[in-house]
Amino acid sequence: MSLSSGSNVHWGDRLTKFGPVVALALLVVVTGMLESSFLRPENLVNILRQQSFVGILAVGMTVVVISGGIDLSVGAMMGLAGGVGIWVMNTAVGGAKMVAENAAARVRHAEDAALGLTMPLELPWSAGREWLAGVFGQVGLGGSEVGGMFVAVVATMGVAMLAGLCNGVLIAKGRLAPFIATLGGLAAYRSLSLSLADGGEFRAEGSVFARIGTGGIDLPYVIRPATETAKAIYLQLPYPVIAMFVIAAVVAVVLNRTRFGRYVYAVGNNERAAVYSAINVDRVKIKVYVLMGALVGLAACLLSSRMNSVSSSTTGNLAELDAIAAVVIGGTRMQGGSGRIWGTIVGVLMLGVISNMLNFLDVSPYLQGLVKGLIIVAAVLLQSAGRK
Amino acid sequence: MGSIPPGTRKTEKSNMKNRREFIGGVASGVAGGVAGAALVGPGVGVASAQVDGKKPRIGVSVPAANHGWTAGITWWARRAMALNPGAEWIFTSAGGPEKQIADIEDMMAKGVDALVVLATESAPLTPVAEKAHQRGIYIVNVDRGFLKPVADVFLEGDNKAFGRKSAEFVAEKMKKEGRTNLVVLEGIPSTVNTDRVEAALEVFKGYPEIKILGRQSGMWNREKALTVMQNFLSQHPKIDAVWAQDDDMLLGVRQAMKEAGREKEMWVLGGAGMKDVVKMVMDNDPVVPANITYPPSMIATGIHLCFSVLRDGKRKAVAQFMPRHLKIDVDLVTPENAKDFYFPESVY
Repeated sequence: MSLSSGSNVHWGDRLTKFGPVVALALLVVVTGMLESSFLRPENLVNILRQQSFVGILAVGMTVVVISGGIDLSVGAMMGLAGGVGIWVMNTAVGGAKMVAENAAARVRHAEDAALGLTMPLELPWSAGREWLAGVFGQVGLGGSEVGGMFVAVVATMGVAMLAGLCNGVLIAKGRLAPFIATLGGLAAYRSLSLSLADGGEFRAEGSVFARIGTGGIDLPYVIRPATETAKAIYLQLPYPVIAMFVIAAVVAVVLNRTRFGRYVYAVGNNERAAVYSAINVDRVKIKVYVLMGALVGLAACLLSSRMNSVSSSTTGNLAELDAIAAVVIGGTRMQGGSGRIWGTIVGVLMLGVISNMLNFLDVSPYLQGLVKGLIIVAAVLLQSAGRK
Repeated sequence: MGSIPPGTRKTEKSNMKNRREFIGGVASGVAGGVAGAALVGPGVGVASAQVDGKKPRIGVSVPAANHGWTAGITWWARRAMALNPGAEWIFTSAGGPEKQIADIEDMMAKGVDALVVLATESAPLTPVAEKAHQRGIYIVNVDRGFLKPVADVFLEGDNKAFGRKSAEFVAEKMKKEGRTNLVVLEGIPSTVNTDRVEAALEVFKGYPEIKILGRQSGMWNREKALTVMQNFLSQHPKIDAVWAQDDDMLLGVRQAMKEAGREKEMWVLGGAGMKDVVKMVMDNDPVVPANITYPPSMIATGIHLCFSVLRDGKRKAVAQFMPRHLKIDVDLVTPENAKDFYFPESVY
């Protein structure tokens, strides 16, 4: 179909599509000129690694926003899922010890009772945890760190997807506005996390768990040459970065090449038309939020592995805002119905480059939030002005 | 995604809009960059990539100054760095562990020879500290320790003595005054908090009349301690004393007590020697009978120490004389000796 200004239409559309990418490229060039060590491979890999966790969240958030919703609870969900994962892992790895300590306490209590002393029985580990430790021992997962890692991943994914399911059901069946439902989730998941850890941290026992989040594939670039006592250290492409790109590719395929993806765009674009087209809108919405939960679970596994711990009060705090910012900057509209995964990835990278640049320029960490806010507002204003 | 229905003629106006949107996309990115550059304060130059081969490059990573003690840390750190121009210093402060991990990775990317780190939280920072250690970076760990012995020097205040001395004072005073009900406030989860609290609880175990009504974390933060104390006050009709272990928290606790009108009922023991609180001790304030020192200047000690190892390229030779674990003693501040610990010109 050829319109009189057909070639201009094509050209204009292509320009809008690539706007964020060109902006990112310009930003990289400008920063590279201001500060040459910005372009060092190790720094670039650092940016990718630091943004990979938000990146995974942002990919899921893109799907949610395209479907016409929003999810404010992802940060708290990540903290809760990661924390529960470590809690369960510690129960598996240290399970035998817990069972033994509880048994010893019971024996002492019985001895005291025999002597006529009536002090209450104080178990070092709660009965529920002891039972779980026993189960792990019987199943053969107890004691080994690798078994513990497996258990942690399963628990984390399970908690995150369950939370996503709750969100989805409240929104689809309960007809709650996504903003409200996930706002409640935000408060609830954070408080569950705090109460499970008593306000403290979940610390992973052992260090095998940390290898996923801190390890990577060696690249042929030497950071520190070999000395007499140690071998050379190579630049690594971190596993979380690989995960982010793989996940982005998979979700992009799901969105663009599967029926489910088509339904997501339809529901976001015009929900009523979708209903009349015999799309099961409720089921689509629930699946979207469960998918978000699954991605939160993956991000939580990687993040809690990187820190080998999860803080019940600070981990994931405000992560949802970073994810939403990346989605917005990448060109996805908040009303829903349109958007691209790779646009979000560009948004994530842009946020990372800007953070990195502000660090190099020694800008106070408090002012960095201001810059982020300015960019988000500017991006949305300019995009919507272009559309009118 | 296909926003133009078939059959529409795209007018010149909408072409201009598409172009505008493109320019908008580019401009938003560049505007962000320029805004960032514009926010750079005067005197902060672009970090030089050319470095004199002989000057050691040392990174200092501390928690952000969001309460009085950490503000003291930043102030002392900057003073110490200024006193040692023989090194190239990179200073970052972080509001939370994730940012601090990112800061340390950035410093490793910039090729630092050494790090002075006061961890925001002990556990999350341990993996990245281990990575730095494997790179051969000299690490001085101040105050909040890593969970593994990856630092070359660990410098801390004697937190066990802190817990013990403060608890002994509280227990003895409570015994003398016939008081029994105590509430305990904890800090940010870290080796510092664990050492203090465990030492204090050990002491309290030896005084069976003392009942600990509650234990909660105030995160060494004034607002959080206010909330925690408000909860304690509404839960417990009679509280005799508060072991608060920190002066920022003490101020929050005191405010809660004042608002509930229960200042006469109990007294509070803080810690770290904030000048306002030391003044209260000096003036024989009945609510604040004593204090324990825990000087933020220990970061300066760490920085001087780090520089002394790296200067003149004699690192290997000097490092072998450095003790791995240094403990700074703490003092009990009472009305009698308070004037020795009162520094009105201090920032903390």
